[in-house]
Amino acid sequence: MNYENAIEIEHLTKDYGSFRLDDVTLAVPGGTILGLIGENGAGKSTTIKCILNLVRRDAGEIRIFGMDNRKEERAVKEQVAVVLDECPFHELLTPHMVETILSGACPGWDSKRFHSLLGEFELPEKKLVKEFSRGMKMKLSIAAALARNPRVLLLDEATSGLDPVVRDRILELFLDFVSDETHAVLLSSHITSDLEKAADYVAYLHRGKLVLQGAKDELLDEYGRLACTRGEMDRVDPAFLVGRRESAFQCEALVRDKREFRRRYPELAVDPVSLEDLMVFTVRGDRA
Amino acid sequence: MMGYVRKDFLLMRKQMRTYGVILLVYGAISAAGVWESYILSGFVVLVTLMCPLSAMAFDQVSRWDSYACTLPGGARNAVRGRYVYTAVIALGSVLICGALCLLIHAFGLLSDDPLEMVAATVTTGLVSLLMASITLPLCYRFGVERGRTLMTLVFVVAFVAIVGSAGFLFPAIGAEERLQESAAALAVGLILVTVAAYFISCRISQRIYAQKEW
Repeated sequence: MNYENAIEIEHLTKDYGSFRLDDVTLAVPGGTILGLIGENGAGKSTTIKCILNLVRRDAGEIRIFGMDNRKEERAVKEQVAVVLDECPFHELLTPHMVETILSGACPGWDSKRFHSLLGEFELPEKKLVKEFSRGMKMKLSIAAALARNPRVLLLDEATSGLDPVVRDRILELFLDFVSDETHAVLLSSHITSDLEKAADYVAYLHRGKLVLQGAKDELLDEYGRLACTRGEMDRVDPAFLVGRRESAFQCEALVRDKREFRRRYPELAVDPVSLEDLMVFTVRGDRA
Repeated sequence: MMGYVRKDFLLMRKQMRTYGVILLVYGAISAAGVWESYILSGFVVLVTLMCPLSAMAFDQVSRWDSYACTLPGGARNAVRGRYVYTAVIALGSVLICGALCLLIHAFGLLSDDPLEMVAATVTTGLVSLLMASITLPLCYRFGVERGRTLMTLVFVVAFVAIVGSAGFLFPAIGAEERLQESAAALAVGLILVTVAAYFISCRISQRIYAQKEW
């Protein structure tokens, strides 16, 4: 294992009976953001829960900066902060009270940073959480996570429910966070546009299996989107096609190895893909 | 760990204010001679059991439980914090109720022996901690609602068993005298049993909590 990686997951398996996270291996290097994408129930939250030891894995190994997440649980949790998809702070608390609680539960709590983030997010310190919107609750969770001075941030749908302006600012904060080479972010999200802005690496989970991973720019460079007639599509070597969809007027497909495809089929136009295209076509290819 | 203790106090601040008002009403009724002063001791049991269970229910609603397990102290400190909170609540209730009894007595509104009243309050405090030792692991294992039901069942069975066997344990003739003679030994025994039960209960709850999947 490489200890320059902030997070290393090897052959992670968790079987719930009806769902199985199957042999997932991925790494998040220091100074980077890894975007974990996948449809609902693909295993994104299970992966994060396994890292945090909230569920017991059936097989595999997880290391944070070289430390085993089970054997050195406390040391690992001192380095890792998490933002879950729902605000964990009770509605009867205020941000001021959240600070009172977390400063007594988290070594390294940075009160100054917390107050500065509350100001930046325009969160009133004395207002009850029950009066907060979903976006405000999420901002409070993010402020609480960053004030712990972690080296690794795990974010489970943390940008959902936020307006684009705030989402953009929060992504900036994450980018600023990973400007330190000893920091890393694992960001699970459905909002692929956020990941296109912020992620350095992308891992795509589908039905509990890692079907795609790599540097985001390389993935976007490797794959292309083909739009053509059914006759033209039928002439294409199926080995190039990841997934396709057909309508009465045209066929669309995700093609791998875009450069080789262009060399073999110069008459067919291949457009750039987005992460959303990668997700949608991969799911369709799997259903076909 | 102190963060977890603070959280329970902050979450329960409104209920504790309500309990304070109830205590004053009980105190006034006792001072008026309508109820026995021992009703104040019963209040200790009520508060010591209700506060941690309500805090636990709040945690379940807000999904604090799973979040607490992601913090450095993890499940271990979350449970320990709850036990410290319960013990502080029990101690606080005993002190307040004891002080109230003495205050009412000082104003000449109660004829009961003040020492006996304080001893009764302390004993109820210890018994309430014993009850919490049974209740908390049940609630950690089965959730607050089912835990409460099971707790009631356990206490009813225990009550029936004690009342049913009282005749064998304390034969009526001379029972009171014998109890008074061994009062000091009984008090020490109760303290030791309570402390031991509380620590064992805490370890059991920590184990239950750590084995949960979130």
